[in-house]
Amino acid sequence: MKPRSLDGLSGEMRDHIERETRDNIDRGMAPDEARSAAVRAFGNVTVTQEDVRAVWIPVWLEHLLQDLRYAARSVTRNPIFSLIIVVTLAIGVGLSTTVLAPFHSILLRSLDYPHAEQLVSLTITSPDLPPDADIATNQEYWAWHDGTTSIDKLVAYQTYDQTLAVASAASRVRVATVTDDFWAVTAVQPVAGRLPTPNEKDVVVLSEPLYARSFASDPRVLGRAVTLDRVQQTVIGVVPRDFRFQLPVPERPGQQPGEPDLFRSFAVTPPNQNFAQLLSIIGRLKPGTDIEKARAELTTIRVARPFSRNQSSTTIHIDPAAERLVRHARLALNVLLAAVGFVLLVACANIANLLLARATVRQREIAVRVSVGAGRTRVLRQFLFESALYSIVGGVAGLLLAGWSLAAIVRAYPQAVPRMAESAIHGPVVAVMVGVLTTITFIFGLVPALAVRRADVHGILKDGASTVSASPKRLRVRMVLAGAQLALAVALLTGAGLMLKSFWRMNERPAGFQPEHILSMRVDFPPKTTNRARRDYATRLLDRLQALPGVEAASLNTHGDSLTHVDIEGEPQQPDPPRIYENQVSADFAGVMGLRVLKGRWFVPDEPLPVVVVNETLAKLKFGRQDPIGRRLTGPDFSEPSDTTGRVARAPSEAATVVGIVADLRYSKLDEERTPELYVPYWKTPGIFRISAVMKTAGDPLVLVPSVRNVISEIDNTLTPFDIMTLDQALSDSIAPRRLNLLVLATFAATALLLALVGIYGVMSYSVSQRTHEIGIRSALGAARTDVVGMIAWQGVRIAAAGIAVGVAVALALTRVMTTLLFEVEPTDPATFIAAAALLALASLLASALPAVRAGAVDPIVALRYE
Amino acid sequence: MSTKDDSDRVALLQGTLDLLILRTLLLSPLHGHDIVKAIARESEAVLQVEQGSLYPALHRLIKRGWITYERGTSDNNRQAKFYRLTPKGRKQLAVETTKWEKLARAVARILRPA
Repeated sequence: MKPRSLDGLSGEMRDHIERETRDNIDRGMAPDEARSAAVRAFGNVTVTQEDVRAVWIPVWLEHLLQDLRYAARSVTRNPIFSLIIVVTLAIGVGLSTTVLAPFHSILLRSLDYPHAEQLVSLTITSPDLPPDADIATNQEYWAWHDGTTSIDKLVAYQTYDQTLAVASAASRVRVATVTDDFWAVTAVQPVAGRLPTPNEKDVVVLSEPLYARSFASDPRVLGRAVTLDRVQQTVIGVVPRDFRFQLPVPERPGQQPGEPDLFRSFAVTPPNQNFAQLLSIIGRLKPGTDIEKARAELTTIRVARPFSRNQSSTTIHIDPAAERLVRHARLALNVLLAAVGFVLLVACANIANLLLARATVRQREIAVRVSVGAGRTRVLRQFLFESALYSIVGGVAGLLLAGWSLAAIVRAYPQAVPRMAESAIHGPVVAVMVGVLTTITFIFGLVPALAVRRADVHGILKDGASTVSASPKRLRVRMVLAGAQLALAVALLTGAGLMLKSFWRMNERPAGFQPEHILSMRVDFPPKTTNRARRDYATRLLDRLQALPGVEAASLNTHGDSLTHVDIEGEPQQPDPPRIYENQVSADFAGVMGLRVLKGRWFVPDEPLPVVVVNETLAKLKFGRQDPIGRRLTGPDFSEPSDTTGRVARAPSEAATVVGIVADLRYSKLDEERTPELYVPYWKTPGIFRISAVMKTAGDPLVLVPSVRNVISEIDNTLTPFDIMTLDQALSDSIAPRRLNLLVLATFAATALLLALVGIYGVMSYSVSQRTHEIGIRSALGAARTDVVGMIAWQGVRIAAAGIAVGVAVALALTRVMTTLLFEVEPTDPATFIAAAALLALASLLASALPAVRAGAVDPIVALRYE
Repeated sequence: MSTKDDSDRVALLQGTLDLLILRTLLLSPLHGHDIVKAIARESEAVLQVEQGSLYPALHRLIKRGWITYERGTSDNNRQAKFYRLTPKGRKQLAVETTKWEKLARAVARILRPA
């Protein structure tokens, strides 16, 4: 702010000097002399101008600038010290923001759609559906559609992969089929073309990436025909790149998460006696209606369920759609947020430790400043400015670090968690971090300043220059801080250790088979082919694949595609039979996969009688301790499956004898729950609607992909293989979210460990330097070097022992919440707890050994003369 | 904004200068050079101030609200600032004058005891 009275100041002064010059001339001086006399009489023009301006600078501002200069000087005078603080802070802030940003983006931000808070996910659980299927059927859709008054928009949708054929090229695309209300609920506007009109059939809307990838963003594609799994569709529009499909999609075996490439309009099949269509359903509540009212209403609407053995055991679930979408991520994000909070605390403890050490050294400087008249408030302010400088530099560096690491994580794991791809550092996250940094600034500025304020200025100044020593109290504070750091690090290490062990468990026993050199691919059949044609196709495919050079053995299976329930012949039917997967396999399947036969036998080619093989879990579930071999199973015989998504129950049509038990197979997901599975020879089953071909290869499985494609198109050129992958890769992909969790948590634990070690090392070194004199006296009085080393090391051991004990207790209390993040590891796994504690004990021993050895090397003469 | 610190910084001579400026402006508004000339003339050239130091003093008085200024055209047909006493400044002049007289009497009594 510049006062107006300063305007024209230099002109005024020039004028003044000119007038004086003229007066001098009038008094009879020569012009030159007159001018120089005038200038002399005026004095230094620049200095005068400065003085005038200085009148207008508020005092507080002047002091402020002065204190800021002092603070900056004191920060830069000790560059290493300042760098350590800034780096520690940057790491703490960087890691916190890297977790807080996705936490906010994924869990807290509402969906991109209007009235997103009114969107609810509607699912049912029923004995006829897989557990945790997150699904409903056409029966519910129509009953609710016709009966509800609390929901004004009801969207049914499915996502699956289909083959998109354009002219001669075909590719596998993720399709979202959606009912008309989808467009109203999302309120998306097309970037090209238009959206479907109500009841319009066989039209598709492309996503902008697919539009660019497959159609070179050529608007002439609008109105053109393409085929999706051989059904003709017309392209009518394109939705923008930033449009996100944020509806909860059930997990399906073998389906990788991903954004839809195109949207197809469909109408839900009317309820009928033949099959149930499996759907995801979301609804938008009418304004003024809440979820409880909707739940109360929906439970009163009668739904006809012809397939259900037990109608009353169907439960309706209605949850906010945003919550449903990310519910699998919630726990992991909460745990990571807690973990990163620990890291931030460890970082802060480290900084506090450093600042306390420095406050001791600076006592004298501060005392001098106070005694020559610096107000105590100004000393306080200088400390605040110093910590503010650290916070600003560290905070900015931390936010940059977070931006970079978040971008790297999103790039590496865009689909690990729903909405991961849209994670970014938004305003509220920055605001929270600024709040955290402000708090840190005040604590770190005020605490050392108050410590000095309490100190007796006279006492400090009276003391000799070199004997400024820490009070024992302050050293104790620092020891407590170091111990707290160790405790936090133990808790983090234990958490990371449990995750690591889960990981090891998953990889150690990959589901009872050897995934090396196995190539897998799927083939869908056209909807209207007969069962006989499908079986014949499967047999021909198997023969041709078997004959390929490089293929050691080929087999077929349908893992995860059909669900059934069975009863034991001669025993009463269970009212609520457990759902089991039926896997239609060829005889070579066990050989190709290296599936272990635990008891009995596997299938032989051309099995003459109806036989089945059960897995370990099914054997336990159905037969308990009895021997299943030789027992006979019966099950329902349903007709054709409904749709590409229909996993409608089918089972052997006649009673079949159990001939063997095999190990549980986790085919595509390493962290899959143990599920009961029934193996049936494919040539004995009434219907197959999709097959997976799995081949054991001699070399790299991917080398064979082109020839396998050839074989498939030679048999039937309308079929395209998809999900071509090596099982190694599939298994590794299946645990990507866990790997991300582990990676992040391990990074935190390592950071905390490192910081904690720096902390304890710092305290120990400091303690040794403070006790040099004492050590000198002890040595002079005959203490052996080992006594001195032992004395110092003992101090370190005490800190470590206390810290580790507290840390183990904290870990015991906290790891419990991680249970569902773990796999076949107890949250109180003793081995992990011991390993984490031992690692920290060992590391902190090393960190305090160095200062202890240095203490042992103290020369008593030097130490005593030092005084 | 603290005036106490301002007065701390003001040395005795400057304080006197402030008083002289106020007294000079009592008669009529003047521009800077005329103020210096008037002080020299009135004091019969005994008081010689460094002319430049007039300006910080003027701004200090403006800041305290004792004088103000208006822009006008001077005798040499130039833009110039004419400084003028405010009513507040007039009151302050009375206060300062009394203070000064007390001080002068006291100092005089000490230096020349009767």
